[in-house]
Amino acid sequence: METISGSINQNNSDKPVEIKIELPTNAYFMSGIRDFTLSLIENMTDFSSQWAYRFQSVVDELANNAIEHGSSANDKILVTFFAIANKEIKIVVEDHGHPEKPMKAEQVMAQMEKNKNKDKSEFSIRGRGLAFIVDKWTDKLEITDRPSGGLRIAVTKYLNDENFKTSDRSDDPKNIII
Amino acid sequence: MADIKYSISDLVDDPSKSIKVVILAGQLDESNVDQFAPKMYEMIQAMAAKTSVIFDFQQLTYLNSKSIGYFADFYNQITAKGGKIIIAKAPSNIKDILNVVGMDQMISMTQTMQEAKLMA
Repeated sequence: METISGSINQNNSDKPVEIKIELPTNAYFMSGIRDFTLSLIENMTDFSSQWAYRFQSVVDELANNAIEHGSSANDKILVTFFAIANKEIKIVVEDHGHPEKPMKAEQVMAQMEKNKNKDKSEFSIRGRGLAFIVDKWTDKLEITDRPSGGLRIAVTKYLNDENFKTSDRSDDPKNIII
Repeated sequence: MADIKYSISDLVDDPSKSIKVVILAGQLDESNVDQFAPKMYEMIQAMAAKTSVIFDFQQLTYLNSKSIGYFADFYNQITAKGGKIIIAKAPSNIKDILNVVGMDQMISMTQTMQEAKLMA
C-alpha cells in the first residue's frame, strides 16, 4: 500500500519550521502536494497569492523531476520545507537516483544551463521546468549528489534581502510571519 | 490524480473562418497530460487547413511545464496547417507561468472570447 508520511517541527519563532513529506513516486499524489504547498504558503507566510502559486509550481516541478528522472517505480522521494521567519523559505527535494539512467548533479546543471540558452523554438515537450520556472522564481538553486545515490535539489527564496530589490527575478514576496 | 475536463466545439459565429474552441476545466499536470495531449493531436490532425484553435482557460486552475511543452507543440502543428492558436481568459496564475517560460512570445493571449474570435 502506498502511503504519504510526514513530520512537522515547529519551535519558537526564531527557529526554522521544518516539514518533511515522503512521497511515493507516482504523479497521482502531486495534486495533494500542490494543495499542501499552497496552504502552507498562504497560512504560514505573508506572500501574495501570486507567490503562493509560484511556489506551488516550483515544488511541483522539482518533485516531478525527482520522480521521473531520479527514481524507480515503487520508490519514494523526500520533500522538506524550511521556513525561517523574516529570512527565507527553502524547499529541498531528494531522490534515490534512477536505477538505469542515474544522473549526476553536474549533468543536471549542464542540461539546465543549456536549456536556459535555447531558443524557444528548439524546445521539445520537456526542459522548461528547472531552467525557467524553478530558476526564475527562486533566489538560490543548489543541486548536489547524495552520498547514497540520487540527487538533492535545494531552492531558497530570501526575504528582506537588499539584493532582492535589484534582482531581475521578481518582486518582493513580503515577509514570512510564522 | 488531478481532474481535467475538456470540450471541443466548432465556432459557427463567422462562416468566413474555421475556428475550434477547446474549453478546459481543472488541472493539467504530470498525472493526466499524457492522456489529454493525444486527444488534441487527433483534433489537430482531423482539422481542415487554416483552422484556428481558441483554448478557453477560464476554468483551468493549474498547468505544469510538461503541459506547456505540449501547448508549444500544438502551436507548431496548428500553425504548420495555416491556423492560429489563441489562449483566452487565462487566470493570472496561469498567465504568470506561461510568461515565465516565454510562451507569451509564441502564443497570443486574450482577456475575452470576443478578442480571441477577432484574432482567430
